[in-house]
Amino acid sequence: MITEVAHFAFIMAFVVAGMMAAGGLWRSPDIAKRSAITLLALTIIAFLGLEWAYITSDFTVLNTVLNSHSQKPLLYKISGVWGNHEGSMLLWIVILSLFGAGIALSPHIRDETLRQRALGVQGLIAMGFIAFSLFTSNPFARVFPAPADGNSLNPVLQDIGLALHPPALYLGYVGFSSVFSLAAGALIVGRVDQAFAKAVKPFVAIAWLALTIGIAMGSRWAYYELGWGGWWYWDPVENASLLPWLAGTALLHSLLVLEARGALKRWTILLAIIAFAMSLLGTFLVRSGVLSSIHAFAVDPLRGSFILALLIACCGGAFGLYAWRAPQLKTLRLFTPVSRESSLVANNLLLITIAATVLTGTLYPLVMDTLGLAQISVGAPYYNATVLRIAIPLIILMGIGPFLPWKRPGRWAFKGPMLTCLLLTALAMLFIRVNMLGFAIAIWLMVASLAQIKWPLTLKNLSLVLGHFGLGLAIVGMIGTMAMKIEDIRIVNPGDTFTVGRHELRFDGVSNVFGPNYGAEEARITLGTDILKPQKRWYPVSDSQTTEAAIRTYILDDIYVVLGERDLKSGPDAWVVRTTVHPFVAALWFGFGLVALAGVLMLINSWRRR
Amino acid sequence: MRRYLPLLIFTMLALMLAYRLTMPRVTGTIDSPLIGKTLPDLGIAELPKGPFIVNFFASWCAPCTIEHPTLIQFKKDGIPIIGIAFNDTPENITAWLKKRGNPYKTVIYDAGDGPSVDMGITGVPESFVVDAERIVRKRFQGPLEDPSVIAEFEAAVKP
Repeated sequence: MITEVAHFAFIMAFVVAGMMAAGGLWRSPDIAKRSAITLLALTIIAFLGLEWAYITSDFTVLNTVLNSHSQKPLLYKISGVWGNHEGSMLLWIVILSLFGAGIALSPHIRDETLRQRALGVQGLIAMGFIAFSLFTSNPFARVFPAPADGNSLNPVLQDIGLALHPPALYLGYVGFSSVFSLAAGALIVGRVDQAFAKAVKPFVAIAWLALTIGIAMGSRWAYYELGWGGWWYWDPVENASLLPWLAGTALLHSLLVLEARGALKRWTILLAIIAFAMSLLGTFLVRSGVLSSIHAFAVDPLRGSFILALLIACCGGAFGLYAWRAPQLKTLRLFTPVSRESSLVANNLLLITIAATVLTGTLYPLVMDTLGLAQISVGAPYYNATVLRIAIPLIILMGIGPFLPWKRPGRWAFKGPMLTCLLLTALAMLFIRVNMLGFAIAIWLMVASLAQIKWPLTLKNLSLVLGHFGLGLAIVGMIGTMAMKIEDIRIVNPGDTFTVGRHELRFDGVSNVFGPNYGAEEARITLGTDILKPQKRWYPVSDSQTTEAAIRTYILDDIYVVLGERDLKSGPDAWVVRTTVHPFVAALWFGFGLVALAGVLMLINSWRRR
Repeated sequence: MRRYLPLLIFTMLALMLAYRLTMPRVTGTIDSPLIGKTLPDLGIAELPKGPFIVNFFASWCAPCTIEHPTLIQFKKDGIPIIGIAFNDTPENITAWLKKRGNPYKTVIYDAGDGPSVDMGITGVPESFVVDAERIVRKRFQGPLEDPSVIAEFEAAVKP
């Protein structure tokens, strides 16, 4: 019964989204607003209905049968709803409606025509996605006869980090829909000004913040759970989340120029469209099966075609609208080369170049294969050779930009503080005695960011300082994990001691242990007063062998111990032990945390200041 | 003209993605490069005349115990198996085989630098089907336990 109510609410949501689109694009702002709020209520009812089926283990619903199990812990029943294609699309639509209601209610949108048109566009997007869900991936489909229990008890996916990582990412991806709708609305109205920047900023801030948190959570999970010691693999789907983030970061900065100088109108609109286009492209890549990736969902060709149609309708429409309306948005304002606005333009160009480079790398195998030229895959070496090089001037500029004054060329009054920072950086480099360009620019960025603190503190100032400083700190962590890691592979006999980096370890032997559903060989390795227990596990039911690394996290570094094969040539109880020390990993997570905190401050700031 | 540029780039991208959707997808696993090639030298003079199985195992390996009954059944069905004891001592192996029964026609000792390297195994157990012409036909990583895998192996080794 509850499932039928939810299903009906979902069908009604399609109708209401249609009303929202019609009201917004013709002339009924009232209908558009009310529809937006009704749409949110209906989609929440639908979502809660599906949650109910999962929580009560209602196995007459096909989706529950395929993705849940009566013995799962409650938390993972709840999160199981978005662990599959159909349920995650429903969550997508709830978030889409949430941002629709946000446009309807936001006090920051002063121009009522803009609000109305944006609601119309948002309604169209909602119609498209609800139709996609209803016709190709209906989460409420029943199954008869009902099986006794569900099929899914995948232990890898039962993880709290993994339960929260997708909703955060969706909040970011879908959040850009509201930015997109406002940009399209502004193109229809034909007015892009300071008021538009103020209206769109809270939406950009919340989407960007959610995306930052989502990406950081995914990286952390990969680092601690997958046991390969990496946190970013340049997997196509990881890139798909990085692309809207880069476009969103560029947008945040171009909005500063639009707000302060009323310039960069067309560019800002274009970035707003691109940010959502990248989100949609990511969705298409994950769910259509054109790229193979560890993140891919089950594949159905009809779904791919449908999402592509949505992508073409949204982005084709918006870029077409842009081509038509762009001449109205001309701003002929020349910036002096040494000014805040010029540095922000440079920042935008560099960020978009990075995004284009990542996009090229992600799609290059597809292009080559389509043209019948070669079957290749693009991996980390390409990105390291290209992205890192473009990032260096960007990071240096991040330190310089905030020193420069708006508008007037000034008297170079910023020269003094900047030179002081440069001197401090040089001193710090002498002090740490690591001769690395990466460290120099990271320290430069941190010092220069701290120098931006202005009394009395404002939220805006603090979010700039924390955001830039956090990135500098994260870069230290990135260099630590990438360039400074110490790897040690050796054969040890019980009682052997060995040193890796600053850690001294003693191998005490291996014994057999048994878990609830696995058997394992477990080593005991003493590190100070601590005992590390890396395991090689064997799961008979799923026929798989896993390696459980032992990890210890310290402020200065992480130590990672993996048990390898037995080696009888070297002794009766000799084993191969692989130890890796990753310096500064804590700086990486702490830096990401500061960047997210900067996002929170920016959000509060853009919300408070009408 | 410049204002049409985003639309133009997007159109090209969309066309390519649409074309990709119509193409067949790559599925399944990649076969071992050894399949279809001649079996590397195992260091023994006499190989069975007909098709046979090469099985990597060790006394310290828990999953090998799981697949052991399958191998015993293969022996009863008259399928010759060459066992390669990986990283193990003759004493341990003898004791292990005495306790559980010996399914192997021949046992070769590999200290980690013999056939295990030539055949590129990733761990124990791992099994290969070799035909009468000494060509490797099949490879399986992990214990022979799943009935469908066992059936495939039987079919391949009994022409």
